[in-house]
Amino acid sequence: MSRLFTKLKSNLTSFIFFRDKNLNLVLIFFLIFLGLIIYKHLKIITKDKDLYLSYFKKIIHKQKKVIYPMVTITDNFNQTYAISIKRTRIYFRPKYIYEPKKFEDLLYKYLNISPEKFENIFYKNEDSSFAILLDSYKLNPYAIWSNVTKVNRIYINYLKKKGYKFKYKDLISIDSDYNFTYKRLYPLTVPMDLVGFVNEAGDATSFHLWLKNHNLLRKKIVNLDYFIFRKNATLNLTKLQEALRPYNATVVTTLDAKLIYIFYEILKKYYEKFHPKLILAGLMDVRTGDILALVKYPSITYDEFEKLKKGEIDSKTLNKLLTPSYVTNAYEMGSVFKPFVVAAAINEGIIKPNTLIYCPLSIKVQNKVFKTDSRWWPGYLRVWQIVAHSDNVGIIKIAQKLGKEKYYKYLRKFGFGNKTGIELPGETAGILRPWQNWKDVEFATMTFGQGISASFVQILQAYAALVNGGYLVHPRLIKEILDNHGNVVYKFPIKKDKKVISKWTSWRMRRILTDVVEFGTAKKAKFKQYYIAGKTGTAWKAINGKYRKDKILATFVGTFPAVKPRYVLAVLVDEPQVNETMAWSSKIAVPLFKELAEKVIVKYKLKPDKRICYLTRSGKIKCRKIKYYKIGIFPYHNAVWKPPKWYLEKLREDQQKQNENINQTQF
Amino acid sequence: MDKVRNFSFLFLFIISAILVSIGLIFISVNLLSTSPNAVKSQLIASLIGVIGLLFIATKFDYRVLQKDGFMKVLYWGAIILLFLVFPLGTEINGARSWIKLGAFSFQPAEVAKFLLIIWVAAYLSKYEHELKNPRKLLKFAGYIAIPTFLIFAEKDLGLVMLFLGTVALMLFISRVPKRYLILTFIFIFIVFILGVLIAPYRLKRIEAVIHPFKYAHTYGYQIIQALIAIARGGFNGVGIGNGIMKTYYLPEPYNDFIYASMSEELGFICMIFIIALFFTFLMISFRLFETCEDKFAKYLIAGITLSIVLQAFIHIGVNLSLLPTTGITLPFISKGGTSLIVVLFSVGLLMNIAKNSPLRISVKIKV
Repeated sequence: MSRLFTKLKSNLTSFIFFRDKNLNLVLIFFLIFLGLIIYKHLKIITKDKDLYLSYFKKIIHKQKKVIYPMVTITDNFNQTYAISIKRTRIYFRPKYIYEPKKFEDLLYKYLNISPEKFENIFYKNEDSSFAILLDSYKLNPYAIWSNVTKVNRIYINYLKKKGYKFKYKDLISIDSDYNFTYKRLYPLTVPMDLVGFVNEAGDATSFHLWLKNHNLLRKKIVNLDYFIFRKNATLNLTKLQEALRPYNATVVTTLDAKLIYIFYEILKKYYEKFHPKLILAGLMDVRTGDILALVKYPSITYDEFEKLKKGEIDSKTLNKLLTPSYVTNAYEMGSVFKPFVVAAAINEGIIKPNTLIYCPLSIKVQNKVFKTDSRWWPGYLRVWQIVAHSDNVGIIKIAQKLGKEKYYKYLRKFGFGNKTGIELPGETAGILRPWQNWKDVEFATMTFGQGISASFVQILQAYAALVNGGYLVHPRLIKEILDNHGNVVYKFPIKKDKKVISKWTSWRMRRILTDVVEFGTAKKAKFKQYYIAGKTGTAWKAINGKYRKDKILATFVGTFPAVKPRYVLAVLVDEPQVNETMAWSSKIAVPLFKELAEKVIVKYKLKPDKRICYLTRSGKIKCRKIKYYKIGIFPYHNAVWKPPKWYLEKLREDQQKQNENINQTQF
Repeated sequence: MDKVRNFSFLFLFIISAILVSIGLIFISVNLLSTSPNAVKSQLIASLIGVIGLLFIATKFDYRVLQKDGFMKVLYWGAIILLFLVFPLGTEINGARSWIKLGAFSFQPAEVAKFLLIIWVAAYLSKYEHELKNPRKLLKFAGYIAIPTFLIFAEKDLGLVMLFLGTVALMLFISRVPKRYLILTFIFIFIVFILGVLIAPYRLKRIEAVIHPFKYAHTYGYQIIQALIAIARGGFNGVGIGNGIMKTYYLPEPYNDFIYASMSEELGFICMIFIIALFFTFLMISFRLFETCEDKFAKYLIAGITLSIVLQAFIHIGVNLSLLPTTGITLPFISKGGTSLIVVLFSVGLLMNIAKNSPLRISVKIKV
């Protein structure tokens, strides 16, 4: 053992050391050096790491950074929402311009600055050592840079020959890469509540497009400020802006600016008609979740903002105009929720669209009596009729068959109670309490949308899922990020989620919702050539725990073309000031919807699915109606809504008798 | 013995190829988007270097350099090159050591250093025994002093110290009596003191090694930035191309502080690998040293390897703030065509020695 050890030892020493004594000494010198290096390196990255990194953070805040332009924001059709333009400034030192005549000539020769302009500036600040000669956004600084240096060189040489002495090397200079400034331009006359605007220094007053938790994005292009970001869970675009600046990047949104402009004008018209608190309108692609338009009125465009003088608007009202109410506000939207009850019941196999349900005039749940507004006679109603005429009693009966737990589960699946994940700040999840806490009365009110609150975007998302074949798509605002040369740096994925209802249920729901427009409460939204599937909602607002009939919330959500839905368009009018007879969604929201939908149909040239008209060879226009059952297979639109006249007359007589009896007993 | 020769012939080439390619990858990943011309010139330089290396290693005999006429050419050629800087040179980063010839620009001091080391090796192998005479030693010192002061006049103290250090180590390995070595160290010390006297900021730089934060905005600035870069890198690094110190903060991230910027991106483990490569380079060429009978070959090996490895270690020492800041690059890896070509040529010479020099006959005597 000991022999082996000695042999190993001798082998090792002969491997490392040399026979020459001097060589060994040199080797030892280098080994010591090596040890020192490794020791120091390890010490830096372990023991002293915090010291250096904390010092680095201090520097970052102190040091002047290179100013890069902010990212460009465009809509999906290459319309520029926001862009930064370089600003050119030329400085000079009036105090050291000993012979202004010569300088004037040079300026005129090389930079095309007129003598009068120069004299004007020169004699104003003759004694100051520094002044701005030129300030414009139109010149290209790189083009005139060489001329500026040429003027400087020639003039200094001239002065030196004359025998002047001065300490500065630059009598005239231009902005370098390190102190360029930019102007932020907003060329479109659209409401800026979606994009927001920043002031000239680049501080965001309100910048709304946020980006959340995109790990891939962070690694690929945000390496510049990587470790600043690493601590924050979410990163907003104002920070991302900073990171993207050197790349001169473009953020492409899914919006359609022209459509937003049209919508805005129409909303303005309706605002002047009804004087509501707020009008919202939104258009979303059913299959991809792309938001094409989200408009609100009152809002503010950049032109209007620029025309305002100082003090004319305070920051509070400006903030109010720029808040994205589509996500920050949660509303109790009323009957808009009814289709979800029906969809859940159909999907569970409890009912079919054609099932007959006996609906009395009122129904008692615990101690409360719910009455219908849609009819004054009791009778059997089909499920589609209940939805079409928005019958409260009928929907409560369906919901009681369905049960609390399942209704809650389906609402959750449709995305209520969760944030949609849209790239806007301050999103609410709405209020949806767990089903164990529901009382029976609350459950009954929830079926027609009281006691549940949801944001405007959530409704868009849920209706898309109802109609597109049954899967949930989360809305998105940002499509992709382009680099300097127009190449796609990062593409945002379509956020398709789990299946909510089956394809068949979705098909039936489409049919049921079409009935609402064709026969039901929203007849005013009927088109000659298009089927529209939608649902009205009139909700009384709860103020101090009481529902008041004079303060309503009129909504309409529609999808079209109904045979193969592409878009979901929703409209919400908050507290219109109208008398009680007019206070129905069918009279406020539905006409607005029709006007907006018309524009969308014209803009995107949708194929008609109800009535196709074409020119014959002889020059006549012929029209052909597509059969109704293409939407759904059941030809039940022949079903009668009103019972026969003799029955109704008999009913009325009975009721009058009852009333007289009651009156008699009272007196 | 023959095994060692073949082994070293192969591995000297492999190690230098690995190091050059690491440098090329690092530089091209970081610079390709911003300044593609720099990457292109680096690539061309490395191609010229490798072709020259292969040519020198195979189609050449190093013993030609030993001849009297050639020695004179080497020495005076180096001195003329160093003189040429004064009329033709341009000043970069405070050191006047660059010559521009049209599109080309090169550092004559780097070339001169290479030529002088060959000359020193030849001189030592011829007049070794005469150097016991103090007069002859003084003559030798005079020979050395002329180029040193020429480089000194170019304000490049780092290169001066490197050159003198290499010569001192070569003398240490040779058979010159050790008592004279003290004289050489005194010589180095005098040069150093002179350098400090001419430009007092050098003394502050030394102080900044000990207290970097005291001179955070003046002399310690570069060191602190380098240390932050290394600390940011940690063990694994932030990933190649992701370093942020090189953009605004760290000066000369591809020349004088390439170790710091590399360790930010690649981390401690990779850097240990690179240091280990340099060390194995030293070990292999010393093994080669042992096999040689020829004195000239021995001193040549010692000179070339010591100049390369010492330069690398000094560079790393500067980056880790073990030594005061001087503008010394990392051989094989740093950006800069001249030094890369020169270093590759000198590796070619080493390989040539492994191929051509006569074997030493060793007899093991067992008692």
